[in-house]
Amino acid sequence: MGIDIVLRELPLLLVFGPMAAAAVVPWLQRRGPGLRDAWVLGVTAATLAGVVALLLQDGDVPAAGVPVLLGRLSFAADAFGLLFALFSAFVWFCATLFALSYLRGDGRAGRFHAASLVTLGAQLGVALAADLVTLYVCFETLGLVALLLVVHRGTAEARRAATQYFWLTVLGGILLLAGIMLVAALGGGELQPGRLAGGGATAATAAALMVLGFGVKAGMVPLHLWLPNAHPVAPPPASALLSGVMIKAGACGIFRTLYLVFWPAPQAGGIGPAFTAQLGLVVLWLGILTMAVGVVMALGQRDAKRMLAYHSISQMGFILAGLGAGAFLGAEGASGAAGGLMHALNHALFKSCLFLGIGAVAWRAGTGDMYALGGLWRRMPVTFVLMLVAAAGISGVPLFNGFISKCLVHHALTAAEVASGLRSLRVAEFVYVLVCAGTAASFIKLVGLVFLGRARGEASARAREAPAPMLLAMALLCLPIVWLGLDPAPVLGGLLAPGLAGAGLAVAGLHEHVHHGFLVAGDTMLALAMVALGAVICLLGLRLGWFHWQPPRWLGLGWWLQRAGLGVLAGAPGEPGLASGLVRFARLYARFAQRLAWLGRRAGRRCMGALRGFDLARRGLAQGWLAGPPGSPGQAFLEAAWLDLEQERQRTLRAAWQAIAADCDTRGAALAPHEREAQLAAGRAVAGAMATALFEHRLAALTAAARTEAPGRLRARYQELHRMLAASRQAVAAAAPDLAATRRRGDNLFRPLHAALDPLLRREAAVLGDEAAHPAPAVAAPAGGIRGWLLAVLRLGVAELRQHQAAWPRAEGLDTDPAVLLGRWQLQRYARDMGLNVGLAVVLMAALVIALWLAGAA
Amino acid sequence: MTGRADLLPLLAVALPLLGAVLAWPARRLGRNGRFVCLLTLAGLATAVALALVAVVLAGAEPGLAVLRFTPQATLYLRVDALGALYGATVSLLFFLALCYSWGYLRGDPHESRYLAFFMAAHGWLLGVAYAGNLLTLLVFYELFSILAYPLVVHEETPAALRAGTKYIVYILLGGTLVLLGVILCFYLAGDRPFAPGGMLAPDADPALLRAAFWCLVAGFGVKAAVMPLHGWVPDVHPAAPAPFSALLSGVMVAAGGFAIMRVVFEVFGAGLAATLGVLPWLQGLAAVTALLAAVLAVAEDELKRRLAWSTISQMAYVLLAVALLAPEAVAGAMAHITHHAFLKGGLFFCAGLLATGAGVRHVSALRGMGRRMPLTMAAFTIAALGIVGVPPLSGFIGKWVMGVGLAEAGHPLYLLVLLGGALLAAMYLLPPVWLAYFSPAPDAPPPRGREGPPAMLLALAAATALSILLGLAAAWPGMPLSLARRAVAAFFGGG
Repeated sequence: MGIDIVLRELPLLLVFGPMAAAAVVPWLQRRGPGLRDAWVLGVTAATLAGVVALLLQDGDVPAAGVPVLLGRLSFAADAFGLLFALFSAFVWFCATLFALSYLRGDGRAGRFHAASLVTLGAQLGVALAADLVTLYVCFETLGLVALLLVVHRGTAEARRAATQYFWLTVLGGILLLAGIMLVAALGGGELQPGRLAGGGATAATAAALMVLGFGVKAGMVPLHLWLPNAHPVAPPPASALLSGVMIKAGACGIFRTLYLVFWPAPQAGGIGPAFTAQLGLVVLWLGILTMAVGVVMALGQRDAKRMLAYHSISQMGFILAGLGAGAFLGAEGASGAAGGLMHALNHALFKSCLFLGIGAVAWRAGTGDMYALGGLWRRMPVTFVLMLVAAAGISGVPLFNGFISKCLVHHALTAAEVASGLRSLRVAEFVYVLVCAGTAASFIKLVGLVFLGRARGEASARAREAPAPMLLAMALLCLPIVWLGLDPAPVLGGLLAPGLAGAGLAVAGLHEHVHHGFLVAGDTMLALAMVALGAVICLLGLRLGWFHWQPPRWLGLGWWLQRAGLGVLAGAPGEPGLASGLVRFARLYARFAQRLAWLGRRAGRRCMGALRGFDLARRGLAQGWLAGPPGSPGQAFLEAAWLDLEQERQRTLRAAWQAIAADCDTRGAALAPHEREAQLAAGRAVAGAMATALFEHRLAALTAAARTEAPGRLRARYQELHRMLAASRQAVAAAAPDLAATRRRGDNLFRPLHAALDPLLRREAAVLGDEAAHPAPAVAAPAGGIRGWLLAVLRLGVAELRQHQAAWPRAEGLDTDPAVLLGRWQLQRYARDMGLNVGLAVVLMAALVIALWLAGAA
Repeated sequence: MTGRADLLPLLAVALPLLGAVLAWPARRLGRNGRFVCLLTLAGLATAVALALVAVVLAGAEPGLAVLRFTPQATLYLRVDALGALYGATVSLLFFLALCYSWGYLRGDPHESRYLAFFMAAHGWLLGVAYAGNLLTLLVFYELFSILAYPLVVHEETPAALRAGTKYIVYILLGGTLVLLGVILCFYLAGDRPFAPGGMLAPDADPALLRAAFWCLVAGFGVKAAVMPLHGWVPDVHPAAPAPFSALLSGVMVAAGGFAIMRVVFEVFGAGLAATLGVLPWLQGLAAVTALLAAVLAVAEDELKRRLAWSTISQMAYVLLAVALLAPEAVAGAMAHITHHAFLKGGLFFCAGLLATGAGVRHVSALRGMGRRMPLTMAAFTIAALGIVGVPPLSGFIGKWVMGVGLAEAGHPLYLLVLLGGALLAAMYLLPPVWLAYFSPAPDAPPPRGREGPPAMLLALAAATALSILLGLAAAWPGMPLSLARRAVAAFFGGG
């Protein structure tokens, strides 16, 4: 009963179990690395056991789901998902076993193992996903968490490779999301065939986006740039996982795209509809391109790990070619689909074994440069044998697993060419054969340079055999390589054929091939011929130095990307790239915005200026209307001067009065009260007379001068006069008490007054005839406009009313504010003008009346 | 018939206002006492807002006429699905920000002023959420906008005062336009409450309708930071204190989007709005804003300014969905407002913690911060991934629903805008994370920094947890997406 529940929820357990186990790793880390290692190995073993249990279950496993996210994350175990899950879990177990001894003593091993477990769960999620959202979620998790595996070593090179990997993954993820959104909008989100097989522009765009998105992870050309940098820079167990398993997630995605999303419903039968076939053809050609580019680049590498990474790209091309051919052939495409899928399984096995082996060699010898090693067959015999088996597998030697899948794909290519009659497919087949030979050449070169021959350097002298857990891991991987090569029936006939039949493909040919003919003479001969050709290429190349030829830079996609500013995608960050281009654009925009703001401010100031000018004009008009025309500039100057002199008169008055009052106070004790009163009264008269006399004289002199002089020179003279006013004031104040006493006594004031004033007046008159050049003072202009003028008049009225209440001399000039004085003067002038106007009007009216009377009388 | 549920909106608005009044007298309780008192009031208001969500899900629509100014003008509160969703978001974020302020404002001389205006802002914004007619929306919107000024210039540095001036100028401009629009609507239709299919008669003078639409959209667009009216956002966010910046980005800019939704769907109605010819302009402006603001975010080195540009870009998606009138996309946009509030709020909380704990205000200074302040940077990473749209965080939900909605409604090209913005979001949010964790360590390992007071960390943890929870549980009943779909069904199907 409990077993039933567990089996029903097993897909969920397989996906989320390792993720949950990863959360325990940091806690176990603190207890000791041994405990942590045991836990991690146990989890991977349990996962493998779970997948096998799912596999052995008869009948369909219903979809299990978690009610999270947008509805349900659902997982189901169909034949293909189980195939991917099986080899993923198996390779993961072996790689973890290897990693336990490789990472012994590494401080970051905890982070590695936790990331590894999470990615295991995500990988199984991709394999077992039952709808597109689930597939996307697991795919993105896989891509993003695998970053931690790539950047494990923390060197500058690792960081560069990780940055490149990251941005390409993000880009691929976004393309994939776009494709999935379009598919979901078209109704195909549930990964059921038949919805979108009809085609159309939106479906084509969605298909292209999904293939590109999955292709980034799968290392499809031209999105493969991250692979050769990321796989070598990660530690060997991580490389094995990345190359062996994680790129198969991309292949799984492309498989689902071709055979589920855009596949016709199984009842249709016959060759697939045109859209699916076209999609398959595109994927086929992408596969051919990928395999060719991969193998050519691989042959030119020195570093064994980089060479293996390029071979991963090439072998992914095989898988894509097979899947594409199968989709192109539609219902007849069983061999292509089976070939591609089986090659995924095979490649996982032998590539991970190769990476682990080379990792052990590099670890022991200290270098991965093939040309610096050699003769290791004596020092690392077990490793040599296991690597030989894996190399035979990847080269397609008969009796090993690679042979089976490569033959199936080849059959599919020929069948496609026959069925469609396209000449280009013949070229494709030719390229395929060459690439097989090239692969064989490359691995003969690898084994020959690294293991055979003499030791070429001290690196080989250092090497010892790898420790037992590593050897065990590699041996576990080699077992299926040999076993599947001898007996592929369980996988092909037992797992793939029923699944393909369920999708509507004709599997009779496949069954026959498996049971009767996979070692048929034609295929075997071809395979052996390809290996032989490969050996020849290898020998010739080594002898003639073909492998050291560097292709021109412009042939490399990375170079073009760097030119376009996307250097980070080519693994060369730090050069002017997209980000700095965006920064430059942003600075331009900011400068543009500032300029716009400045223009706006300037326009605003101009507007305000125009408004102010209008306001001034209005004020001038109003003032002119109220207070009469301002008259000539000379007239304005005289008015201003009058104001100034009037103020001076007030000041002189006050200064004289203060002097008199002070004098009274000093002599206060000596004076009787009535004498004091008399003194003060006399002082009042004297001060007023003096101030007024000065005022009148100055004004007369100024008016006389104004009649003859130019306004500019007059201004200058007036300025000179102005500076003498204070001295005059003091002189008057000094003379005032005596004059007051004279007046009190009743003596004649005339002579003493003029004696006091004449020197001052003469001096001032001399100034007004002088040539002096000084800058003119600012003329006091009435401020405030109409409202100010009215207020000034109001204050004037109030001042007049308070006049009788205040004490002298304050009463005389109660409000000496220039605006008020001017207002008084303007009122006087207005009254005069008005009086003139009224008089004129009366005269005119009288004249009119007389004229009318005369006219009436006439 | 005033049922008990009808008083809930009034209660929700009144509780924080009571807190505002009590903020100054409560200083007698001591600093912690005052905070506990205000947190209680804010928590009660949040509880009421969440209760209103439950009430709305049960199918009721509580409403209450609060005040009658004149026979023609009523202040009317009403809670529908959109209002309940926005009100719950506002309340929760204010509660978290208040908890954060507890730690952030330690030693601040103007704490009373801050708290009083903070609580008042909470009340006004709930009033905006629960407004039942244009006048109420206008009143609460203006009150909130103008009375947020003391919070903006809280630190009283010259930069803050300049930012405050800019803020007031923009807000007054927007407010004038909104007032004009409301007056036109009053002229056209009188004092009618919001109706899901539009409250204006379609046969009114089209020139007046268009004028009213432009005025309202432009006026609310100032708050929603549509380009070219976005100028206040990048200056105000760095100048305001961190908890208020979180609120500005989380709910205040969204208030503009919320108000535009009300205008488009409940004042004019989807059908009428499509015929007025304003929406194509809004589509173009929103698309340009989303991409241009994201590009400008990449270039910013100051962290808070970068986050401010990010907010402008994210809120432009909301406006894009509304302008395209695609039902599923609008539902995604409404849910995105809520999810973005907690994600961006969490990012601003991190920025505040970085500024006070390590003195770091610039992205280029984040090197090695992953080791110095691990909790803060972990939360930052989660929130950053959320905004980029990585599943299973909540940002993915809004993006997915909006994308599928746009494709379904026949606008697949706008997916370019959506996903281009996602790529740019990765470009401006993930490099800081990379710098913090994976950049080469300096020669001397930096000392383990202070992580920050527990109140701030608690608020940050709550915001992060909410982001994760809202993502995982997105399709559950009672979650933002279900409320949003209910609202969209009413807007597009009813009326």
